[in-house]
Amino acid sequence: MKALVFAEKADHLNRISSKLKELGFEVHALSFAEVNADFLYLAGPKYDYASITAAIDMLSNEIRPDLVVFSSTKLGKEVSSRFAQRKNMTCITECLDLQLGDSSITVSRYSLGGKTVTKIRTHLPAVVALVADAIESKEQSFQMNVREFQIPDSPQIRTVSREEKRREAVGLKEADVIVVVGRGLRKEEDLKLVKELAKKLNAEIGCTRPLSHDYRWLPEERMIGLSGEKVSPKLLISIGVSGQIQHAVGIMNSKTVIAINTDENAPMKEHSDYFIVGDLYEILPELIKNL
Amino acid sequence: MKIAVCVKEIYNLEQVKIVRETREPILDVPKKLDDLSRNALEEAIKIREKLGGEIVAISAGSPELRKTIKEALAMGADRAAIVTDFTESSPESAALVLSRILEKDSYDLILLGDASSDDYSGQMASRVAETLNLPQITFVSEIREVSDGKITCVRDMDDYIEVVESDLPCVVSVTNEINEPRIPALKDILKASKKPVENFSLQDLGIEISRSYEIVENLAPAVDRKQEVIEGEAAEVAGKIAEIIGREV
Ligand SMILES: Cc1cc2nc3c(=O)[nH]c(=O)nc-3n(C[C@H](O)[C@H](O)[C@H](O)COP(=O)(O)OP(=O)(O)OC[C@H]3O[C@@H](n4cnc5c(N)ncnc54)[C@H](O)[C@@H]3O)c2cc1C
Repeated sequence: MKALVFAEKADHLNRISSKLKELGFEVHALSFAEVNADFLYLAGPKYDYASITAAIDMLSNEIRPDLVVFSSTKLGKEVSSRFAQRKNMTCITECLDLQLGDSSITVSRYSLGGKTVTKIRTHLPAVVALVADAIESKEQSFQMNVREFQIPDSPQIRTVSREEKRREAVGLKEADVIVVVGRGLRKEEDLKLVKELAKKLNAEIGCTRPLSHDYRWLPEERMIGLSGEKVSPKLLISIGVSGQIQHAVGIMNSKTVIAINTDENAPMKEHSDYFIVGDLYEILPELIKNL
Repeated sequence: MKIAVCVKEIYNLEQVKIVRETREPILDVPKKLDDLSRNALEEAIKIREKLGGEIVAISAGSPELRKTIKEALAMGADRAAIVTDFTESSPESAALVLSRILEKDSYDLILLGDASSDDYSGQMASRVAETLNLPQITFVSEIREVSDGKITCVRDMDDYIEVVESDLPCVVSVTNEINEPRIPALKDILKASKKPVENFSLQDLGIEISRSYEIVENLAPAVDRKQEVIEGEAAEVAGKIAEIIGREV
């Protein structure tokens, strides 16, 4: 069994390669950096979907893989589905795991915005995009045949500029205590209240999508949910968060959840062990005093 | 400017309940127009306000779509072209149906959401663009400029922001943050029922749907929260929270 893998990030590629090797695949990887693979096609970086799709198409015609695998990043989803459509194949994105059956694979992914987890079985050959962070695998040994590869330069759109986002190292995944803040917070300055609480508890701060992506009060790395981080702290304190499913799915694996919300009917209630009906502006100062 | 907006009807997820014993979802709830579809539609309306033209809402769904599509017409689509006997919802079959409807006309711009809030699969822009042999610009957080024959967009990717341009026609998928979709006024809702809706069947389009994968199970994770409600004076409540925190960490 052969797998062809592409990911623009080396750490994603290594994780996915190990998983595929563990399942018994011969791993062929298209990469911009030295990564683990049985056959490594080392190429200069390119970020346009058309050129990468063309490259994967060329390699897959040569290798005839049983499975074509991408990292489920935005670029990965874009390219995997364009490639799958070209080949008239199934593509399943946002996969949280991968199991190999008899000429078939089974994957899990969230459905209904995160309300449920769906297990999907499809026959090979197939295309999947895996959430690299969710994939668990042990270190493997590889053949490490390296070949230089030229990605054909065939963009269909013109790139005017590209700017790297500033990234902050955030320890949400490892945190024992997380304080999550949502749109119940009225203004950016009020974050100091949340920061004060987090400091007392030695907690990491997380947030809902509007705070990071609309208001830009907190960096994107702190956003929790379907399109953000999935966390599993011992204690999570959720403040001014409505608890819509696309957010709540990210906190499912917390051991204990305390929520503070003015609305007694907020959906957050069903995702909480302790649901405090009240105003964060009255409760937080008192709570900070109490700790 | 002739703009197609591909929109999706989804279950009203807030109303989907889970059977406690089996963890199965109860899908006997009304459908609605997806949030991301509204973002795409809003962007189309803004372009029409500037450049004039026509907006056609395109969709494939259940018979209920005849009702749901009115939400798109009320928001501002001029007309709709829909398939209402589409119950299999794999990305590849949806892309096939949407592409067949799109092929019936010629569009300068095809807009859609970068994913839907239910499946969050994010394949439709790529699949439709590939089928129609068009360029695509995905994950667009801002449309900077549209003119005759050209579009310039800002893309919000995982680790970078990109400004790209493409010739038209082009497929563009937008993020949830690109705009704040308008809420139709009562008069718009009333007007919507008079707007033309072309309703095709899969057979009209010459499409036979085959299933390429099998759903083995679809269950809610087994998390049972205590859901203990605490109310009272701030100071008293804060004391209780501190107590719980003390127990848990
Ligand atoms: C495809 C898709 C993917 C998404 N992915 C994510 C994701 O990964 N993560 C995410 O977070 N969201 C995501 N969203 C958005 C999500 O659906 C919600 O819109 C978002 O989580 C709501 O954020 P919020 O709870 O902060 O805001 P709101 O829904 O506005 O809730 C604010 C809450 O604060 C309460 N409140 C107000 N004032 C006070 C006060 N003084 N004290 C206490 N409480 C108060 C209100 O009662 C309300 O419940 C996604 C959406 C889509 C369509």
